[in-house]
Amino acid sequence: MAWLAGLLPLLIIVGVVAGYYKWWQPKANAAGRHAVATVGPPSPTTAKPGDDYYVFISKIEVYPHQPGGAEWDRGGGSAPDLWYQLVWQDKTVYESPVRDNGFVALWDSISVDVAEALPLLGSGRLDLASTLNQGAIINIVPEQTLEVIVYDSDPLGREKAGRAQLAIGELLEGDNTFSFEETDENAVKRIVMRLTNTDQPVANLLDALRAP
Amino acid sequence: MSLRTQRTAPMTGFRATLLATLLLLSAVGLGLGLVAPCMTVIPRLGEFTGWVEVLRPDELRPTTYSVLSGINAMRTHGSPGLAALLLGFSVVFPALKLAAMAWGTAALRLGVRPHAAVALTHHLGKFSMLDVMVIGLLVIAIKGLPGGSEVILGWGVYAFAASVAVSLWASILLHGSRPRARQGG
Repeated sequence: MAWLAGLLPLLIIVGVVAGYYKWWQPKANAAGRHAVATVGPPSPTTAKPGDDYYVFISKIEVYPHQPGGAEWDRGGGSAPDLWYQLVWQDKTVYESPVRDNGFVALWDSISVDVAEALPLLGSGRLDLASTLNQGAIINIVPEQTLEVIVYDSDPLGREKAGRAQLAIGELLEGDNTFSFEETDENAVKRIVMRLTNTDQPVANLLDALRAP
Repeated sequence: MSLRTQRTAPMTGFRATLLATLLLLSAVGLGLGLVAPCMTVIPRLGEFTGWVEVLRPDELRPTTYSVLSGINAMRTHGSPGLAALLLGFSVVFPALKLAAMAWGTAALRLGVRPHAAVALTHHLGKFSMLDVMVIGLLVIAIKGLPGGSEVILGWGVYAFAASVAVSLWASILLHGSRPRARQGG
């Protein structure tokens, strides 16, 4: 019967493993989740009046035809080369780079200029301002509007694809998606705009900016 | 190794109690050592770390492993053979060694001799240290990587090491209690 004693260590090991997974690990995970929750970005709310915000257009989609029904890129047969302007207080505060040949154009909220980056690699420093070059900074004044004007770039200049006037007081922190009807003056179907408070800690700011 | 169960003078109560306590502690330590955080790997890419933190943050996220989760990670990431090897040497052999020692202790306490379990512990003990060597090699390998990657050992390693040390002590006590074969008998 002595062999029965040999089962005891095995039962103890199994019991400890099971007990750890049942009681110990859930507590540790809950503590970890709490820690994350306390430093994570806040859930989307209306932008705070008086605060400064980074404004990024991350996505613009246009209808298959220009305003009025004409073909995009007449003669060329390709999709539009989209870019946009942000106008605030009647002044242009940002002009985006052109995204060639697409009905959906994407822009990254964070980008790195390699020419600027190379000298910094040795020091390991990261100049945050130089990476946030895909948008504008606006101050939230509820009575004001922010205008987004979308263009199709062509060799002879630019053609307006549409424009949207957005009430700043109604903008949300995080992603704002606006949809528009196709009209004789508008071929913009969708705009996705991201608002990020500039007063956040750097880590939260980066998390908010790179959110998909 | 013989399975004959000849009678001999039983092990003293004090020694049996000490052995049972050591085996209990070793089993608890082994259980915790298998599931508790064993190591946290913090990847670093040297002078590129700052950029990668911004552009590909997932690549630099610290990862914590226990012995069991590490074995499972090896299994799911294309190294089932290595996972099986580590499972054998880190989980199966140490557990069997403790079981054999408990069996041997009970047998000697009951005055049974010579017992197969005592001899079995001698053989199983030889297979129970590979995991310690693997962790050591892993730490050296990661420390040696360029870019300043870090490995932080968790308390699971200490629980595991304590289990090994205590089982070693128990093994010495157990073998010291084993009845000696008579010369020329």
